[in-house]
Amino acid sequence: MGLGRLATTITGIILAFLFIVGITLYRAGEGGEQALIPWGMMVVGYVFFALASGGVFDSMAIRLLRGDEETEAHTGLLAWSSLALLVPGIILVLSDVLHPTAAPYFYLSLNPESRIAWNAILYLLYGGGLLAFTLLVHLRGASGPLARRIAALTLAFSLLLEANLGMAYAVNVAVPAWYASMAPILFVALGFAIGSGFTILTLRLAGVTTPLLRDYAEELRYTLLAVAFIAGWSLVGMAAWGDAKATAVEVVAGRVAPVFWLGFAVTGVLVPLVIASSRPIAAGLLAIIGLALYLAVPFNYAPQATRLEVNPFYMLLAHAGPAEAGLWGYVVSPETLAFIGGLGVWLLLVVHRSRVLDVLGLRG
Amino acid sequence: MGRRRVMMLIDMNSCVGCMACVVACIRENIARQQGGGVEIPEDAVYHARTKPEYAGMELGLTGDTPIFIQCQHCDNPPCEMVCPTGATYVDEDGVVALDHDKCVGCRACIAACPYGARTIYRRPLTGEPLSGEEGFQPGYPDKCTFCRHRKRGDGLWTPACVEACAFGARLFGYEEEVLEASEGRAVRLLEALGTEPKILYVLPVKGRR
Repeated sequence: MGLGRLATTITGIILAFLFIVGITLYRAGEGGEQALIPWGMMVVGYVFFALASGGVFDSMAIRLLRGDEETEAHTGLLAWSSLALLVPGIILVLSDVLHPTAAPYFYLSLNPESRIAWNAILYLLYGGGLLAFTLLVHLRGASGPLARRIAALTLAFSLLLEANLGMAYAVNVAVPAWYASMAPILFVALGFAIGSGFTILTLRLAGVTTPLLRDYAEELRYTLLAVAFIAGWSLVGMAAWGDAKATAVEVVAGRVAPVFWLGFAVTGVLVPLVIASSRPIAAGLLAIIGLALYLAVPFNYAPQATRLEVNPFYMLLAHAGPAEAGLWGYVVSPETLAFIGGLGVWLLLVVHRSRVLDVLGLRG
Repeated sequence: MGRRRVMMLIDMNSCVGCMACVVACIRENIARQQGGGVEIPEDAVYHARTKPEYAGMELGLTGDTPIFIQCQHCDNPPCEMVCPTGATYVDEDGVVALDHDKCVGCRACIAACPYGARTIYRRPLTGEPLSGEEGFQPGYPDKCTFCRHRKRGDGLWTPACVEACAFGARLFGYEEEVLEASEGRAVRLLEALGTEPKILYVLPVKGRR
């Protein structure tokens, strides 16, 4: 084992350990009361990994369906990476819900009005399609018509899942900055951007230095522009609409403004845009970090926190209740450990792909 | 002919803030039997299914009366819409209820409620709820049930908070009776959201004391 591979493996093991510790502490009830900020970092984590997985798959599938030969040569690797990103995502979903043994009711007693119910369906369809595609590609290759049909179908499920994850936020009439927002289309754009970042890292980890890396760096730039445009447009919309204005002010000039400007705008968008052509790996890594920060704080935390200031009932509840974690407590929590640690699961699965494939007998 | 729906009227002019309703709610729904004693969760008032909040007085929102945060039993409940498994549902009397067996604990109902009516308690409790399955259970999004466990047969029942109020500030009954008693003076909270609450409030007259 080379030194780089050893270092990556050790990093992956440490992160995977944090993943287990974070989930264990959260399950033990260290996550706070969850009435004022009901959706914490675990939710951000599973949304992030679902978008990342979908994003890696979407770009790969679109290129494959267009007949891109270079993509076809790396389809197995990219499908595997996409699957490896979905694994921590699904573990986080099942760890976040407080009663996972009731999960069969997602399917046995589905409420068709609920976007979360559709998430459960779409996770199954996308995950099933991705698994079938990955197995097929590893056993028979990506060139046949069957692989393309499964890729097209799974692509549709993936895009639906990304948009539906956004809708789960956008139906919340009690959270003004989320309600009727552009979260569905934002999430599709975030999927492509985060996915481009992870694709670049995946290719790099596998030692691929073909022009494909530069193609993805270019895609990262376009998709980051799309994310920045939609996020900016959303802020303008919020600033012009009733109670949501408080969230826009909070994001742009309030307590979370450093995360928005330094974490998202500079680290996640501007710097990657500038360096994507010359340093695609650094650009991909920074984009992933910046977009994760955006999802976690300006998008997930700020709207929940600011409703405590604009909705009289939440204002009163916040006043009446036990002290609940503010931004610091939200970020410094077992849930964050679980979220960050999920990267270790992906890293180990990607770096040791050959070994896992051998164990599973999937060498085509 | 459909079932008759229940409603509640809270007359804030008759409320003196004695908290008998809150104590009755805690005794009925939140306290748990533990051997020969009674166990209550930390911050029991916060977890009461009708909880007083005085900040409204300081902010000038509710005159000189505390407002009570509780489930409004909406006809069009956002919590029911977002619940993925149908664990939150509206029963035949119009009460918004929770089937604990079906609840996965995704907390979407907590996020969706514009009235801040649901709390959740994540520390362990060992006793048994005094009101059975409808009682307070750690790890589940908890809220007012209109004490529907008191219902016997097809008739109307009396929630603990209504029973405990010595000043008649709370009235519980069928829709037409409650609407008649309100004499057109009552309002529904956050009506513009289209949630159609089944709790009506007679707002306090300014400077009545």
